[in-house]
Amino acid sequence: MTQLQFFLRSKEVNSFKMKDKHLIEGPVAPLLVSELIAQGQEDTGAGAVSIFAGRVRNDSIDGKQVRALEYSAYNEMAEKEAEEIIRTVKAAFSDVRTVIIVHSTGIVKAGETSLFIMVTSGHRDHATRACRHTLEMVKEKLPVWKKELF
Amino acid sequence: MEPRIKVLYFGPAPGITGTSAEIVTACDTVSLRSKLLRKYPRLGGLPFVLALNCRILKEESSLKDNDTVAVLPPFEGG
Repeated sequence: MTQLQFFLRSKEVNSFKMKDKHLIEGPVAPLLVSELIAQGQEDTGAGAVSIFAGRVRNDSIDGKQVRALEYSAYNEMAEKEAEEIIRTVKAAFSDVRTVIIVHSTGIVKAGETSLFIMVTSGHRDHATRACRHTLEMVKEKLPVWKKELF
Repeated sequence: MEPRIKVLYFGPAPGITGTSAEIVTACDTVSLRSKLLRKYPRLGGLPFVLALNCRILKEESSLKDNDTVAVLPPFEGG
């Protein structure tokens, strides 16, 4: 789904139950990140927001520098797994109010964001811990692969 | 007649099989796995798990028509 479609869909609903909610074509653009943060302001009981953004690094491999990563995913399963991760995190951290997971597919250039996680909670402790926990679960459970482009 | 299973390949696996999806007949995951390894011996050098209808298999399972089995190499998200 394109950035614009994703942006429009994320405005349509507050719950994250829709399909194609967690994968996006291309990088997670700064505009989308700011929109997702802004949406969270409506929940005035959420006193803490913890955010993780994963960026593509320009690693050197065999003397060649990575220019971009091309991500592929098992879309149907990834959407289900992301929902399952959100359910698990919410069950484990009672103070958590929202969990957002967005992962790129397709080409993401070095320096651009390919993974965005945002967790809100009443207070800071659960937001920060749940954000880290979400990240580890995404790395372990989301069926996504990458290929280096030089 | 053996059930017709849709097999999907992800990550580096299509580089070995030359396709990202195909139909294979097999009555269970044990037989499907050995058919795939016979057809694509290089798959044996690739660590992977199988998912049946989007659920990672924790134990071998029987298969029925229109099941989808995915070959999933180690995930690399983030």
